This record gives sequence, structure tokens and C-alpha cells, in this order.
Amino acid sequence: MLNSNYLLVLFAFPFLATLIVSMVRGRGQAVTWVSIALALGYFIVVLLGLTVTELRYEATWFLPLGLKYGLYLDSYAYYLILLSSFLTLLALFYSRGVVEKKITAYHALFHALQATVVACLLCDDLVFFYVFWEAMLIPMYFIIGVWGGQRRLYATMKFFLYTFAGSLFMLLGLIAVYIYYYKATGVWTASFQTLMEYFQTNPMPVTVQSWIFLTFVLSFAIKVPLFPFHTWLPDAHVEAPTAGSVILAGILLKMGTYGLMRFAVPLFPEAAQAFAGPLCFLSVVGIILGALVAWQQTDIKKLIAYSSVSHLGFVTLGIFMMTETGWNGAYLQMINHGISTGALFLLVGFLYDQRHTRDISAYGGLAKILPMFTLILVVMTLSSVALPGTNGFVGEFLILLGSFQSNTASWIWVVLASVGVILGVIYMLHMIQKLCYGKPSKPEVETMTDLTWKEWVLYSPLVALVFFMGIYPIWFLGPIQEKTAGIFATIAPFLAK
Amino acid sequence: MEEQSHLQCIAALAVLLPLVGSALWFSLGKKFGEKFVSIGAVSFLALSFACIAYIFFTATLPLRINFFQWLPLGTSSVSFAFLFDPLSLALSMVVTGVGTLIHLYATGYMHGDAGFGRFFSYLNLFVFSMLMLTLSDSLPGLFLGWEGVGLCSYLLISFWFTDEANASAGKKAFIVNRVGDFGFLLAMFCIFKVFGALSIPEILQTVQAGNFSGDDLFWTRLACFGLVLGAAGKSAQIPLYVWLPDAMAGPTPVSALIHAATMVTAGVYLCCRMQPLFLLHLDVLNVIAYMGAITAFFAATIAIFQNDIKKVLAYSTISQLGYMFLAVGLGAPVAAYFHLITHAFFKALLFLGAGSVIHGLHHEQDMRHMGGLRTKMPITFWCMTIGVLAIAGVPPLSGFVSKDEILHNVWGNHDWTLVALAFTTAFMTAFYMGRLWIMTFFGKFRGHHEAHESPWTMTSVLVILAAASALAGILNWPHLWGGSETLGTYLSTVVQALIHHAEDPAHALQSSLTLAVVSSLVGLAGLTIAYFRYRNFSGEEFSSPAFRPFQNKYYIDELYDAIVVKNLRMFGKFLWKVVDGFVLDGVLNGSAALASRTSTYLRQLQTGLMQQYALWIWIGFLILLLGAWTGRS
Repeated sequence: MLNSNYLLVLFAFPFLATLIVSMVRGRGQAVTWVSIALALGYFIVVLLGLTVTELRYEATWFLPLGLKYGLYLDSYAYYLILLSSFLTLLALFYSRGVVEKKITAYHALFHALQATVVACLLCDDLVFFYVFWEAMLIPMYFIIGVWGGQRRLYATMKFFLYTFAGSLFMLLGLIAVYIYYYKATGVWTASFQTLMEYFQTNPMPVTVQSWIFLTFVLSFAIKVPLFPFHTWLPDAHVEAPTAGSVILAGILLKMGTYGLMRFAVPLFPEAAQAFAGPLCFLSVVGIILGALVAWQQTDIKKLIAYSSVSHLGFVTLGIFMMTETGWNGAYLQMINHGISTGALFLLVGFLYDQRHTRDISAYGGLAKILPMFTLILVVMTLSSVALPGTNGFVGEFLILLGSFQSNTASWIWVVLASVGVILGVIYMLHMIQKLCYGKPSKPEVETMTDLTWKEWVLYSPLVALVFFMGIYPIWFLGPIQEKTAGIFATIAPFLAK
Repeated sequence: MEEQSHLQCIAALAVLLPLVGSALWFSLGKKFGEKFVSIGAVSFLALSFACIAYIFFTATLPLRINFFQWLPLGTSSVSFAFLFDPLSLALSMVVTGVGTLIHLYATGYMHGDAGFGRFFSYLNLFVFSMLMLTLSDSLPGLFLGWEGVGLCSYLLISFWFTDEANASAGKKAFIVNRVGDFGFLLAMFCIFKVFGALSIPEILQTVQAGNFSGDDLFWTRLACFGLVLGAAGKSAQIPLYVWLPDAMAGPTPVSALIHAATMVTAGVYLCCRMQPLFLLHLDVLNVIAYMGAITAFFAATIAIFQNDIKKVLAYSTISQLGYMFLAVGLGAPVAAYFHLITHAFFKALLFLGAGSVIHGLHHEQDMRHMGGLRTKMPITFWCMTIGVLAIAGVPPLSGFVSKDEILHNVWGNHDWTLVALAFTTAFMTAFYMGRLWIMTFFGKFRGHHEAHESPWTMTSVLVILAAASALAGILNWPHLWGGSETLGTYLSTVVQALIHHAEDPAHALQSSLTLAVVSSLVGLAGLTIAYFRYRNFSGEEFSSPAFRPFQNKYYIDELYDAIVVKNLRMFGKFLWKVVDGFVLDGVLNGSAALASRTSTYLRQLQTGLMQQYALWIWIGFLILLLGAWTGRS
């Protein structure tokens, strides 16, 4: 059985990996392989924890202010860590032979990114949480700024400043919670678990809740991103290198929705109930705007970036409608989106590496030239448009079905969100048609090569997951359900009947 | 439960064989060649048919076979489970039976195509999805098949994807179907709200127990409308029929299997399956009846003016589906189901016959360039003849019996608008089918290529289907005419009839015979008029502008394009350029610019000149002094 030392390993491994990678001397290949081996090692370490339901580790750090070095692992954190280690492995494997500039720094930064993400997911201490939350930005800032496309500086600045500015509000909120608890009990603590337990029995006044809730939501909403805070995302995605996009879409955005499910709603249920209507409205606007704008794009990466806005709108809708089934769906949809959108970015990267353009009209007729590429693209598209049998359906269906039963906000939001189901097909099939169907329009297209063993290694686990999670989702949903039920047991008294 | 597990294996085999086949032909089709794929695909389907038939003949119904949990939904959950009852078994017999025949036919039709393996992969996948649709015992399971057949339809319509038009037609089919699926989803949400479950038997049991509050009835009504929208999408009814004519871009066996015999009837199946729910809302049933009758009528008026042989059949399919919905709406599900089955036979026959003609003429589809083919393609001609007579309603062929049953119910309902629509449609059906028959097989040959009869794989299938089209009337031959109404008895446990013809037997016989005579006369009249109109056909017609609206399908496509598609596109552009680009990024970049502008000004204070700093210190000191002076008490 795994004990709490496992948490230490889970926490420290990526930091050590960062150190090791940055110290490797020698030519590029050596760094690459060491880095991939470490990523694989970490993935295996994470897999070992598959049976864990809950683990805690605690050590004193700076007791006068109640700061503890506390780690806490449950299934909400676990599956995101699993996703992170999996996608990081794929992203680094993909980068082999693609990235040639400053290879050591590149790999070290991806491990550092993983380290901060995992730390953020694991830590039970609000102060640590904030530190790692901000620290996540730094590696991504460099990944986009150094290895990005032409407008990388504008994009990375926008990404950094926007998210950073949002987080500052959360810092205020965190301090407020911290002081409020001290005033109420005379004890300093920053342990999230302790705070949770306390506020369950002694809820804050609704006005206080509301202000603090809004600071949290602002910060998380920018990260997700929720309409109208989403405009940094398309720019960042377009300029980011492929592996950066995979991690950005696959992991970093999920930190926002994770924050909502882990902190914002459980700590301030009454405030969440009070603001549910407007937040559902913003989610629905995001779903529809994301889909319609994606349809207009000529840049493939921008199209997928806007589709993320639409998909995450479903997730936030599921969260703010506050039903158990909706939350299970929302959590699953976070993972799903990581898989399907991660795969879509890898596929676009595959095209870009051969033709060096993301313009949709530079392709066409690929189904003839690249049949296997087309097959994978179609599978991922199906997952993205939530065809039953794929993972996308399970997530979206649970979100919509659950939210429809909600007493928190009106069922009309669900009806409007379901329109997104129609719009999703429009832009995705539009993309498939432009890329794959018709006659190969350009002579350059005819010389492109189909998938090699490297791509098969990359895509086959993703394809397998799409169907496995679509047909046997209970494997993931089992542990998630328990966690959600636990949260709802505590917040249910504060929700509308 | 020895027997249960044994049936479980057989049921799983029936459904999984096509799925496994699909993967096999896709991955190995190129390597092992046409023969391997042909034999494999056809035999897999035949086996699947055998499994279904085995259950059909041996199992005691209803039989529920559970596999494993799929979706956990809080207190309830959805499993992968099959429900074998008369409704689902009858349709899956048709799907696998006709499916096997069409697979066999397709091995001849697709011979030499570069995508041979891919074609059979999609076709097998379609049968898998269709079986999921019919057999699933829960609405999400049914929905899996429902969307799956939509996907296969998309893949097969755009099968020859190098032609941009085919790709667009496929996309259109998928999108329009999704509009219907939106309704289906909504219906599931509403149903779950009322019943707290999505398993079909559970829902229907609760419905039959009755006892609904006004609130519940609001949701069930919404659910019914959602289901109707879904059915209209899948079965190409007004207002969502626009995708089906374009779907003819796919290879002809696809048109026969998917867009005539099986997939498009899924909407009818859904309405029969959920009939108890609809019985709570008779007004919704009335909407269905009118939707069906109006669709039947309008599609027939368009069919008369089409020159593409497949387009005629496509509109005819829409029209016949309209008949089925009319019957469903009137509360005569058995008649609808009967017509569904006979239609599967004769419409598959007609499409495959048309395919044989197209194949023989090297992909010529315009009837103006056909003619005189009866001597060159005798088998095709005779089989087609049976199909044409069946759909036109000539006794005692199957189409006559099933259509007569629908007309009988329409008559018994005493709504004269519906009666008028139904009988006029019957007349027009006979007319345009006669037109098709004569333009294709009679007169002088007006084409460019040398015509030839198709290979045995194709013609043998035509012969079998012709026999079925001729004889399928026996399935539900009315009591009044000495029949046993086998299908009606078979289905009586799952659906119920609303219209009862409570008359004394002698009178009933008389009126039913009168109706039969009238309906066959209507059919014969249509055929005869077509014969005189087209027997000396020269290749030109309908040049008058008065026919434009019919030839252009009433400009519905153009209307949708102008009202929906264009505006949606404009709105998307607006959201992108104005909301995202101008407003949101404007605010963002504006505030960034403000910060940087401010700092540019403030920076000028920091000059590095000691004297200036000293000056500022002095100014500050003076201000403080001033403050202290004004603040003294």
C-alpha cells in the first residue's frame, strides 16, 4: 500500500527532473532521451497511485502564521496529475527532432511546468497554492516567448499579464479568507482542508462570501477562459509551439475549472448559488461565441483555440448549474478536452512541420494523400463533437443532463447550450472538408508524407482513450463520483431547492 | 440462467460482427484485395442476420439482455443492454436481411473502386449502428446508434470525397441531422426530469401507470416535440428534409440501404417505440399526422419534375416516409410499420434497379439520356416493373396492401384534409413512377454509351427483392380479405391502435373493398396518364417557367441559405471582428496602452539631473508646508 511518502515522491519528482535535465551535457539527442525517460518514469510513478482514494502529508513550515507544508491527494487532483504526466510525455516525445533551438532549456521548462502544475494540484495550503499558481506562468511564458511563432512576444505578454492580473485579485481573496479565519478563531491557518471544515459549520455572511468568491472566480475565469476573458487564448495558442499548445489546452486551462470545483464553490456555496445565473449566462455565451467564431477562422490553430472556448463553456456551465451529475460530467469533460484537443494540436503540428503554414486553404484533398492522418483527425473530431461512443459524448451528456435538473439556475441555459451541439459539428466538419476533402489543390500537398511510427506511438494511446472512456467511462467516473458526492453533501444545504 | 447467457452471446455476436468487420475491412482491405473484403463483408452480415433470426424464432419475448454499465446518472444509470421485442426484432430482421442483400449487390457495383475496402468498412459500421439503434433498451443507447448511422451516412455520402459537392452534401446531412438530434437530446433531458430514468421499458411502464401532475405533462409534451424534431431530422420530414435529396451523391447501394430502406425509417421506429408517451399528448400526434401528410404531398409534387433517376426516388422516399408518419400520427402504428417493411423491400429494389441502370450506362443518371433499356437490360427491367407496380399501389403487390391499410385508417379518421392529401399523393406517386419507368425502359435509347446488363451479384439481388416486394403483403393481409394480419398480431403487445373500425363485418368488408378498388384505380390512373404522356418522349420537357418552382424544390434550400446560414455566418463574423477584436481586445490593449502611455509621461520625471530632483524636493516641501499652514487650528 502506498503511504504518504508517495505524495512526496509525486511532488518532488518533476522538480528533480527539471534539475537533471538542465544539467545534462552533450548533444541534443542525449537531453531529449533523458528528458523523455524522466517523463515516462514520472508517468509510471503516477500510475502507481491509481488505487489511491485519499492521501495526506503534513510537515510544519512556519507555524506562527499557520503555514504548513501540507500535501493532499484525492481523485480530483489525481486524474489531472495523471493527465498532465501523460500529455507532458507525449508533448516531449513529439518535440523530438522537431525543436532544434536551445533543446536543454526547452525540455527543462516543460518539466518545470509539470512541477508547478503538480505542486499546485497537490498542495493543501493556500499560500503554497498561490505561489505555484503564479509560478506556472513562468515556464509557459518562456515556452511561448522563445519557441513561439512570429507574434510570440505580443502573445506571451498578453497571456502573462492577463492571467497575472487576474491572480492578484485572488491573492486579495486569499488574504481575506486567511484573516477572516484568524479573527473568528484566533488561530492562523492556511490549510485548505481545515478552512473547508470550519466554514461548513460556520459559513461566512453572504456579502463577505460574495466578494471573496468574485475575486476567486475572476482569477479562475481568466484561466479557463470564460467569456469575456478569453481573448488571450487564441493569440497564445496560435503563437505557442505545438507542444506548448498541447499543455496549455490540455492542462493549464483545466487549472481554472479545477480551482472552481476545488476552492471557489465549496468554500463559498451561497455566493456561488447567488451568482449562478450570470455565470451560466457567460458560459453559454462562451459556448456559442466560441463555436461561431471558430467557424470563421482560416488559421487551423485559431479554430481549435476557439473550439476550446466553446468546450470549456460546457464545463463551466456544468459547474455553475451545481448538480452532482453535471459536476461528474464537467470533470470528465476536462480530461476529455485534454485528450481530444491535445490530439488535435498534435495533428495540426504534424501538418505544420511539413508545410510550415497553418492556413487552412494551403491544404485540401489530404484524405487522398494522408489517409491515416485523416482517419485520426476524424476520430478526434468525433470526440470533439461529442459523438456517442466517444469520450466527448459522456462528458457533454452528463453535463447537460445533470444541469437540466438543476434548481440553481434556469433550464433554458441548458437548451441554449445544446445549440452548441449543432454548432460544434458545423465548424469541425468545415475544417475536415477544407483540409481533407476535394482535390489536392497545391502541388506541395502531394509530396506530404503520411504517419510514421513516431506518430503512431503518439496517437494510438489517444485514440484508445477516446473509445475506452466513451464506452467504459465508469472506470474514471467511479472515483470521481465519490468525491463529487462528498462535496455536494457539504454544500447541498446552501443550494436552492 | 443457462439460456440467458447463451442468448447473450448470440446477441453480442449479431451486433459485434459488423463492428469487427468494419475495422477489418478498413485496415486490411487494401492488402488482401476485393475478394477477401467481398466474401468477408457479406458473410459477416449473413451471420449477423442468422443470429437475429435465431433469436427471432427461439426466444420468448420480450427479452432483455444486459451487458455492462455505461453512464452513471446519480441514483439511476444507463447500461449497454438490448431489448428484444417484436418492434425491435422486426426492424433488425429487415436491417440485417436487406442489408445482406445490398452488401452482396455492392460487391458487384463497387467492383474496381479504389476505396473498395473503405466502402465496406463504412457499410458494416452502418449496420452495427443501426442494430444499436433498434436493439438498445435505453434512450442514450438508441441515441448512440442514431448518431452512429448519421456518421456513416456522412462518411458514405462523401465517399467520393475528391468531388467537393459530395463532401458538402455529406456535411449538410450531418448538420441537418444534428438539428434533429438537438431535439432528441432535449427530449432525453425532459424525460429524465419526469421519470428519473432513461431505460425505455422503465419509462413506458411509468407512463402506463399514469398519474402525472400538470408540471410533468409540460415536460412530457416538450419531450414529445423534441422526439418529433429528432424523427423529422432522421426521416427527412418537413422542415428538415433538405438533406436527403443531396444525399444521393453517395454510391447507389448506400442510397438503397441507408437513404431508403433502413436509416431514414428510424424516425418512424422511434415514434412507435415511444408510442405510450405520445398517447399522453394526442395533439402532438396530430402534429405528426399533418407533418407526414404535408411532407408526402409536397415531396411528390417535386418528384414529378426531377430528371435525375435517383432524385425521383429520393423524393419518393421522403413522400413514402410521410405516409408512415401520417399513420403513426393517426394512431395506426401497425400500418406504419407494415409500410416501413414493404417500403424497405420495394424501395431498395427500385434504388438497386436504378443502380443497375446507372452501372449499365457508365454512371449516367439523367433519365432524358436513357430510354429503350427494356431489351438491353431485361432482368433489371422486369424487376423494376414489379417495384414500380408495388409502389404505385397495384394489387396484390405489397405496396398496395400496406398503403391501402394507411389509406383505410386515414379514411376512418374522417379528417378530409388528410384524406385529400393522402389520395392525391397516391395518384402522384403512380404518375411519377410511371414516368420514371417509361422514360427509362421504353421509347428510343437517347444515351451516349452502350448499355449492358449487370453482373449476377447485382441481378440476383434484384430478383430476390422483387419477389419480396411482390409477396410481402402476406405479412399483414387483412382479416377481411381472408388474411391473418400476422404482423398486427405480432406487434399487438407493444403498440396499440387508436382507430377502431367498429362496424358490422359485412359492411366493413364492403367499405374496405370499395376503398381498395378506389385506391387501385387511383394508382392505375396515374400509371396510365404517365404512359400516354411519356410514351413518345423526345428528351425535352418542362421548359415553361411555370414549372420552375417545382424543379427548384420550391427554393427551400435557397431560403434556408438566405435566412439561416448567411445570417449565422454574419453573426459569427460580427462576434469575431467586433465583439472579440474591437470591444474586448480594444479594452485590453487600451488599458495596456494607457499604462504604457502614463509611464512614458511619468518616466520623464526621472531625468537623472540632480538639480531637477532637488527642485522636486523643494516643491514637495513647499506643498507640505502649505498643507501644514492651511491645516493649523
